[in-house]
Amino acid sequence: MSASVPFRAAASSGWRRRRRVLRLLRPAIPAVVVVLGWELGARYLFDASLVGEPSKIIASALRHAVGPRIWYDCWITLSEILLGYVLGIVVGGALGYVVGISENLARIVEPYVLLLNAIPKVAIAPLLIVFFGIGLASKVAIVTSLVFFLMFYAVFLGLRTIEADFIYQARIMGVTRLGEIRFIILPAIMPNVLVGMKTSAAYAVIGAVIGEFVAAHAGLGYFILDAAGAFNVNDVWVGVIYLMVLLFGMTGLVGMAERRLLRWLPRRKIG
Amino acid sequence: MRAGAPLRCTGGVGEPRFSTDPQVHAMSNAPISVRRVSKVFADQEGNAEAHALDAVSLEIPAHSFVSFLGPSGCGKTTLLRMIAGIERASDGEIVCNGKAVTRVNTGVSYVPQGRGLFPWMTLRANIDFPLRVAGMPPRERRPLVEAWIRKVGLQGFEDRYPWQLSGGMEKRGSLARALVSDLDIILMDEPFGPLDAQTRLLLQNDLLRLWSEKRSIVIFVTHDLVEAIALSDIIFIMSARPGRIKQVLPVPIPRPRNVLEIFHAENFNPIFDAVREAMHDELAATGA
Repeated sequence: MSASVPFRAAASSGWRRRRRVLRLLRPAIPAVVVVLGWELGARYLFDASLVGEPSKIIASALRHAVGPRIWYDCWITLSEILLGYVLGIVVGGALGYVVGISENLARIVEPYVLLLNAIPKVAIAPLLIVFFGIGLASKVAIVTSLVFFLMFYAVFLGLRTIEADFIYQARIMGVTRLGEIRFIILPAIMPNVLVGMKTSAAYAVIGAVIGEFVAAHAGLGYFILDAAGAFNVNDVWVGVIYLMVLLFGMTGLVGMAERRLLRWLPRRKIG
Repeated sequence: MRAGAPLRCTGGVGEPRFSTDPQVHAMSNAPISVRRVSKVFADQEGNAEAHALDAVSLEIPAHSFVSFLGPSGCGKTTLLRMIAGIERASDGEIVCNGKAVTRVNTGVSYVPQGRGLFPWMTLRANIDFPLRVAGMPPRERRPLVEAWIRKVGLQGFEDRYPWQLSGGMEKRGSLARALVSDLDIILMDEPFGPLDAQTRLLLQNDLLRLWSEKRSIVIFVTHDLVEAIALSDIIFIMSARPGRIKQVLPVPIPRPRNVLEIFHAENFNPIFDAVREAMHDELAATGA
């Protein structure tokens, strides 16, 4: 028996390792099936010039990666996104905060925010282009207009649901007005803020692309429109892939902030 | 109760609402004095909705552990919150250490109902927080915080967040956070309410042990009769809504007390009967 133990342990550890590799690969199965089906469909069933071909899309994406053009487009779109994103977070968050802590201000301002939020921002994109011009400013305005409302409500509702007793406790301890914001209110609304920032990231990308669709000289939206105009479906997909990479990068950064700032949140499992 | 401690009270059932007793109006030396305090909660249109407290007067002598005991809805928590300055009296005044309470009372420690610690701070940061807010330099804070963590038996859990602690552990942390500032008045709002019976008893014992080191005033809100007897020097029994002080009962059980053995303590039976009798009508009145 003493001899059989190491033998069995070795066998089971090999088996376990193989199972672990399989488990890691399992989520990739649907992707592989879809891409393979797409590739075969494009070759044998559908018109490849309409649906694109994964192999050609990947090849083109790699080809673009060494040339400067797409990186320039990325840079343009990224700067539109980031400027609008930061502006929307700061302005929306600040107004949400001010309105959230003042009952009187809330009564006046909130209906207007509700009203303005009902404007489909995409529909007024052409107006913003006319007003702010064809360059960076108009795209930043569109992105900001989307992010603003999400952040306004994130902070506003966060403040509404804060437990008043935490604030009272801190006040009894003698906290200053500034300390109350820093040590109690900000941490308490941080989950809402980070959810708002995550959702906003996706909306910021949409806003920038819409702006570039309406009128632009450069940017990934422009790249996509350009490719579509030339009936180059594969390059449309290349533009989409680069946009996805931008968004992944942004949500990744927000995710890192989340892990750092929300360590204190209970990790509950539902179901 | 210590002999000669001032103990006056009006607003009880059957007494006139606005006492003309000159003793009540005179300035007293008691650290906490509640003078004909009423609280009416209004609805959104400002109409009076509920009389939570009706002309309550009482005085709390230094170094005493007192309980507000009463059925739910008798205004005991409201009264505690008014002493803490986070609830306004509709009428009357509360004087704490010679000053009328008109705003948040930073001269007290407050142990809230429920879990209590700030969820976004580690246990250590929570206990450190009152000292940090008070502007004590970190060099002086650290040993104090460590000492209190040891006193409540939470060594090794300093870096945990509240959700990673059991209910009893979090309550211990909450006690440490209230006691670390070394204030003379500690307010506790049903602090052991949600705990299981065993944990409760242990924490009550811990509380008495920690309290006996300094003997700050503790005002302890509870609806648990045995808890009130086991811990207090004086029990203020409150009537159902509108809340009034129905009876003031000194608890003649000698200290140090062992909460686990309180049923066998000297004088337990007579005081238990007295409290139970006073509470009986109130519980019947609320229909509980």
